Amino acid sequence: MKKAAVLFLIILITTPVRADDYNKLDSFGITEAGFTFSDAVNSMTDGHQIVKANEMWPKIYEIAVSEINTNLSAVSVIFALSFLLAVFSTSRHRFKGGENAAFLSVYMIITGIITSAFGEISKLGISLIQNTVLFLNSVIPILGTAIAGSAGAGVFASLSPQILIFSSLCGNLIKSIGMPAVYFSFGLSLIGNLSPHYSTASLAKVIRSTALWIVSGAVTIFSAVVSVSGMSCSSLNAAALKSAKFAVSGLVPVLGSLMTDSIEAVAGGAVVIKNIIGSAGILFIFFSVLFPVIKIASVIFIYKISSALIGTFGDKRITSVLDNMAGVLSAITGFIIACSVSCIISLSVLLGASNLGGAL
Amino acid sequence: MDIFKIVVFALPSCLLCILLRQYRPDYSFAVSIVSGIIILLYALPALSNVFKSIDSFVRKANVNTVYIKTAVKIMGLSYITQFSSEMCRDAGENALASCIEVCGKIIMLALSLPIAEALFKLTEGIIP
Repeated sequence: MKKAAVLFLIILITTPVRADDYNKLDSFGITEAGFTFSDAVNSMTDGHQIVKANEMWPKIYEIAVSEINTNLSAVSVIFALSFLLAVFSTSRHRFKGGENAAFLSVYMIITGIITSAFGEISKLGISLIQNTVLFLNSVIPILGTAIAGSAGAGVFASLSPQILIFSSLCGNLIKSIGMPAVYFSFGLSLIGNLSPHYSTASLAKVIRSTALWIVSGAVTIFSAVVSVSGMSCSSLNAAALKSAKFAVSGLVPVLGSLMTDSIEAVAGGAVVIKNIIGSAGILFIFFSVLFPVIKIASVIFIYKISSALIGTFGDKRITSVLDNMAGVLSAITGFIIACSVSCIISLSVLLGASNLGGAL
Repeated sequence: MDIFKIVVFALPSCLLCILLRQYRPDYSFAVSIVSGIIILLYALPALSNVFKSIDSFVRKANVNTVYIKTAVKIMGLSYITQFSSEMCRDAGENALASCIEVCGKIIMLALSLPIAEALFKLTEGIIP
């Protein structure tokens, strides 16, 4: 017990809880809500509200509308081409080769438009997932200094490896299984519609949903493990602080009780710093993911609507390609949300577990 | 309306063809070819309006207009191939008709290859 108390005191004295450490995290850039990580920390320290709800709604609306407008022109070309093809196909052709060639040329152009949109969104998705995992990996050491200062060294030591391992595993799972499956499914859906006789659309769907199942299963297991460990760790925290207080008041003859009070004050201050850094991290992850997800959701909406409208007059194969594109984009959105939610859960578990609770 | 012009021109030429077929079948064939070409030419101004509006969409969407033009060319080529091969069949030249069809297919293949090439390049570009 004495050893633990001495260790805690050494950690408390030697841990440099430097306020400017978090400035390093500004390299992750500005979220589209208009703040960096250090802005979030500063405004929380000052007690200002960094994000105002009445300013957010117009921004969300603006982003959704601008993304719809950008994609509307691409979709209008798809519309025009499918309409042209529909008009062309209504006249009876004895020359079947011509009809097939016309369909294939139009189909290849539509595929090109869809593929370039898919490429942009998949790159956005991959970079978002990588950035979120990297951000978590960078924020945890900074959070660690604050947690160690608030008598949570034991919690941090037992929880942070799990969180780092699982978050990296999640990111790698999405990168090495999820995204390739999405690419494969996208390719299959394009090839499957080339011929009216052989359809690979359902195979594409199966591959996509299997990848989604694997990733969401991993995220669920991760959240469960982290939450259970967090629950068991919070008592460790209180025990460490209590033992430190007991040792100091017992071992130091005259100033013991005074020092106990100051330990409480330092630990309480470190809790505030830790909570601010952690909450700023959660806020940063949330807002850096929110706007891209809204962008992708509006693209999905556009493709779903256009698929439904083209279905009324156009070729079934074009409708099926647009539908599959919407499905593939939904899978990418699912991956982004799964990754960011697991990062937010791990940060909040770390914060919750390292709170002093009844120790003070 | 353009369709009335087309009908006013097409019906008398049809009558002329029927009349001529009894006395000079070769003349009847020539009349049918010429009137067919003139009727197709009537559609060109209306078609150019359609293409102008498609062109404006395409420019907004940053899609290369060459590919859209190629697709439209393939559709046009298909119509022309069908028209000429059926003319040949009407004249009893089945071999010539199938030659025209094969030729049309080869030209369509040649036209559509650049689109396929561009698609392959694009696909190559998106793979991380």
